[in-house]
Amino acid sequence: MRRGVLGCRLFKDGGPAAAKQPFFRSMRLTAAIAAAPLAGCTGVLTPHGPVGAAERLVLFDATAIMLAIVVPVIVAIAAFAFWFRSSNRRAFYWPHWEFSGTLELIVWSIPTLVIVFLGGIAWYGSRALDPFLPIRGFEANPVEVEVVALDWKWLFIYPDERIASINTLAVPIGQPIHFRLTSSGVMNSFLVPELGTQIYEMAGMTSQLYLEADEPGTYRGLSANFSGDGFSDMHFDVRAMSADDYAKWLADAKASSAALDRNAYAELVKPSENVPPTVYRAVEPGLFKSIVNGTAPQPLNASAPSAQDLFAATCRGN
Amino acid sequence: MLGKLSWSAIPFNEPIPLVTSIAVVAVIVAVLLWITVKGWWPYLWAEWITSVDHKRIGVMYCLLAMVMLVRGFADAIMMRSQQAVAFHSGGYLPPDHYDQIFSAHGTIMIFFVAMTFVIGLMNFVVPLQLGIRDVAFPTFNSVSLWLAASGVLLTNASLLIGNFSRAGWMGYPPLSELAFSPDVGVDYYLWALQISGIGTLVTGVNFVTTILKMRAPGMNLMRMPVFCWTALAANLLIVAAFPVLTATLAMLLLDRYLGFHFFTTTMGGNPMMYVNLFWTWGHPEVYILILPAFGVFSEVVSTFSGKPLFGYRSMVVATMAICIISFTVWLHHFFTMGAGADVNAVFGIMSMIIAVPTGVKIFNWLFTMWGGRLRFELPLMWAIAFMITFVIGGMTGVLFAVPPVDFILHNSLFLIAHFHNVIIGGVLFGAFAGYTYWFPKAFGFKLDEWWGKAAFWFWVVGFYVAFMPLYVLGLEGMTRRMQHYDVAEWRPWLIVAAFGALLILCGIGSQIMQLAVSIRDRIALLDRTGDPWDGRTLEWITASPPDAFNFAVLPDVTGEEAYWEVKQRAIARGRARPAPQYQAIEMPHNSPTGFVTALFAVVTGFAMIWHIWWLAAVGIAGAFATFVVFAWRDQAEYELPAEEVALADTLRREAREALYAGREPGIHAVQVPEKEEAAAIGIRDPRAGFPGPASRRIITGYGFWIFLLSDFVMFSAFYSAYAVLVHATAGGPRPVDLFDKRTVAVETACLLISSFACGMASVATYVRNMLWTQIAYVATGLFGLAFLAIEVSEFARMITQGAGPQRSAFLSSFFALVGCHGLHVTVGLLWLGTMMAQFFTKGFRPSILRRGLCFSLFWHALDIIWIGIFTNVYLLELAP
Repeated sequence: MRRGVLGCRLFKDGGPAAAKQPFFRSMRLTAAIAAAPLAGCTGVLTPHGPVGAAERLVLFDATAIMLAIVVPVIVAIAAFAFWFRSSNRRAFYWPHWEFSGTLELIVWSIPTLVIVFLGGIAWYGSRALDPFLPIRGFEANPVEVEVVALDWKWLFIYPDERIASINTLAVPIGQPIHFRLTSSGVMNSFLVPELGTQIYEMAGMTSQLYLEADEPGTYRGLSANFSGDGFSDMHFDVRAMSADDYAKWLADAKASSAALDRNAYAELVKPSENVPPTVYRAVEPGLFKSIVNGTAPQPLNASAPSAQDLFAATCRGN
Repeated sequence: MLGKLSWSAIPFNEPIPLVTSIAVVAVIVAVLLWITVKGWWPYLWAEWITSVDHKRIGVMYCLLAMVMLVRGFADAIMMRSQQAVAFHSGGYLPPDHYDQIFSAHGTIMIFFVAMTFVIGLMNFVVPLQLGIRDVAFPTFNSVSLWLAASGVLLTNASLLIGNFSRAGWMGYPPLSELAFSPDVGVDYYLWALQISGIGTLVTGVNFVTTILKMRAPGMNLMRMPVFCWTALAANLLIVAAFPVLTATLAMLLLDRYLGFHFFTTTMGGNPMMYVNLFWTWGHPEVYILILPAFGVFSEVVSTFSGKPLFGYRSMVVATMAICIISFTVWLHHFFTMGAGADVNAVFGIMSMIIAVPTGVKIFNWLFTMWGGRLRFELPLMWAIAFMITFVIGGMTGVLFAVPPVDFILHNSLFLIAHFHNVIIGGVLFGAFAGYTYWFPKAFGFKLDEWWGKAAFWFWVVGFYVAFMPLYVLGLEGMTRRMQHYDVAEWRPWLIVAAFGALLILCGIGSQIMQLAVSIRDRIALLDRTGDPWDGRTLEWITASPPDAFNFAVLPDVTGEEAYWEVKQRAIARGRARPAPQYQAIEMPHNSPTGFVTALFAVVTGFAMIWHIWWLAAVGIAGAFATFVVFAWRDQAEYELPAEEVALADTLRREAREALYAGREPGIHAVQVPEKEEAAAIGIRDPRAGFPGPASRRIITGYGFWIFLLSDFVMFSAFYSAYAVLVHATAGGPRPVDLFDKRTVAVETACLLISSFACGMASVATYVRNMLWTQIAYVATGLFGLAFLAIEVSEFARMITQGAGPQRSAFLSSFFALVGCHGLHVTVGLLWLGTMMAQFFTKGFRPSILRRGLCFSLFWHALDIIWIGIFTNVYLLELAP
């Protein structure tokens, strides 16, 4: 039995308590209507993990709250414009009416109340879904994955398994994944729309992200921050699989031929486009750390960093 | 000799830019030839190019914006068609070209269409609405225009010579750094924005001064039309935000040209700082664009409802609230950079709070329509389309303020749909409403309605068809700036969006037709009275087009709707008030300063882009020389004799007879309430108390203060970079190892004494003693020189010690901050030299005395800034 990410009865993922209340039922209906043109499509509205599901719920809730005010306003604009057209002699004309204290009060109150409501969601949602923190209710035993955004491909290092892959991310379902992410040079953003939260990768720094897939399948991952000419091909497949399949995948990876040592990385880090998925049976220990602190080979034939560079990078890294 | 420039800069092997640019060059040459053949140059030169009339400048700004709209839209339709075809294929635009297109599209649409259009409308309308004859600094206004045109020229030159940036319109480093973008593209982007940015800043200073110091008698702040309020807010934002952009782009330039390390990935550089600084400017920027559009809609909704604006005071409060809060929300542009949950939440909530005053505005427009008598002319149609569209765009915007929603939709096409929803639906519809609304005022005839309606429907429907699919695509996980893709689900939506772009193309075509047809039918569309829409604000009291001096006699303002009251009373009487006593009017001379400065700015920018150093030096020297020549002129103004004023105004008054006699269709008499009649007898509310435009000396000093304020902001940006980077020493020297406090103390003393001497000079000019004025200025200059000499020797010592700006991010920020101050001192010394010569040769003329006042303000401000630097950088050291 899964608990809702937001850890709250109200927001429980598909929970009966919420669905029984008419208000929430109508909100869901609105959301469903809004989502109707999307039926059959995949994306952030078809999440396959708790983070994505929680974020979709926040999206629907916030949309529903605002539609409650936006739809009447749009109707009123159309209605006022129609009724007070100059050819309508039944409409009254108040050529001097320019102030009403009561109306002013209402006019300021309505958006304020909406924002108070939404602000609560923002505050609560931001804290509950902080990408750097373990997913609430899914803290146990995460799979560690180190992600390096290269020009223009994704390197995934599994430090505990000492293997690595390019443009393929295999994850076991039902187990949280703890990503530590960086970049070899330019900024990228790691995003798997069907799993949830994205986060920036920046050289010399480590970001963190927790995600989980709860159904087997292949999900599309991509960079959401433009990073240069090869950007469009900078996507990868997330292969979510059962624990058994995952173990088999690891075993296959360990049986593959290539290894990722310093020299192989020096080749890999050079810009290349549309790179086919690859796996490495072994990874030089500490590779991720050396990428973060700038001692690993650099893209673009930049000269090897000096000790001072290293110092600088270490100062910035965390 | 020619730096990096060679024949390889011309894209011979890329047919699209080559053919396009050859076609554009051919069209330009043809137009220039046509003008030459027709002999129009003297007219264009005298009446337009050198014009300092705010109306002409406003018209030229709007024209520039419309031409650039076509250019930006050409980019847009290429992107939409590329994405429609690039499914499992490379499409027809290779990545290096496609990347330039979206970078140019964003840059052009924001800086050269939206910005230029709203500045154009403000230029044309604000002085008319305020009831005055021109802006505070007419010649500088012309400089602004031509600098904007320089930016346009440089951006478009990149099509033929070299290439444009491929790093997006935000130019995020490290991608925009030399290591990852070694070609000239980013340099084109940077210099175009720096040059046009200076123009924008001058506009900001000009309009803040104009609005705060130069209104018609009786127009206190709470009687200003809402458009002027929004213009004030937008220009305050320009003054406070643009220096940050200037500083940020300057840092990137230093990185690229001199090997500094502000945003590099080595030596302690910090790309995140660019993102922060960029959006510190960038978020206020969107309000610089949208607030004037809100102002246009306020005028339009009120005019075409035949009612005053509902909740005027609320509107003012909301405008100013948006103006202030817009500076506290920048972080929502990068919730995904990992700032932490609480920081994200606070910025998310601050961003939502902006929705409150914005929502109030929507409601106030709604209640302005309530009880109105709505005339569905084109401006009102744009306004209603705006209200509906903007509410949707606002809703999706507030969605992005919720961090968890931003986490999944950031940088997706949902975001693209959102900001086009507010910028097209808000700014552009506002610009179009303003264009149709004020066109008869500018040219004396209305725009054709049939083609206008065609344009309206194509634009509105086209907008929805083009951008609603993008919302869907964002939800389907499609990210922005993709040159090709292989997700089948995306394709149908992209094809629909491309069709929407075609509809917008028809809209733009209709607008061009509308303009052509209107010019052809101008006699039938003539606006005889000067008040074609039954307007309420002062611009409608003038003739269409207004005389060069706008108002023969400055109007006496007695209420919020200055013109409406005058008109209603005149209609009640059946005739206008008797003609006033006319007096001669002083008008500013035309000046080629703006145009010539801009030419030199283009030369400088182009030379810097291609590393042609000697040419850059020529350009800078030329621009400086132009200003010296401008400052040297003897006659800044000419006098328009009272008879000419009387003649022009009599014609205007005759044209209004029909209107006041009730013979003009559509202009109705409305019973004016009693209390307003009381004011009509001529007893001005003593609390209104605004005596009219301030003296020239006050205006000049005030304007210069506003400029200094923006300078302080720029130094703050450099200082915050220093504060962030002071620990990023990259293993090199720290502040404690480097600074020689004793030398710097002597340096500081020099500057203080120099400032004191400058004060003495002010005293000497006050008593008109030329000898002591010159002696005190010489002392000012010598101590200033001593300060500079010590600073340069300190810099030289550090560089020879291997502690140059390339050594570490800390040193980069140190050299930039202190060097920026040193540059100011250098400019001040050059200024001082020319000013002393003016005093010497021309004596104590008022115009030179005003310059002396500005110089002393500048010089003392540099002192204050230096004391800040001395304390925070040298004394506190901020070292670990």
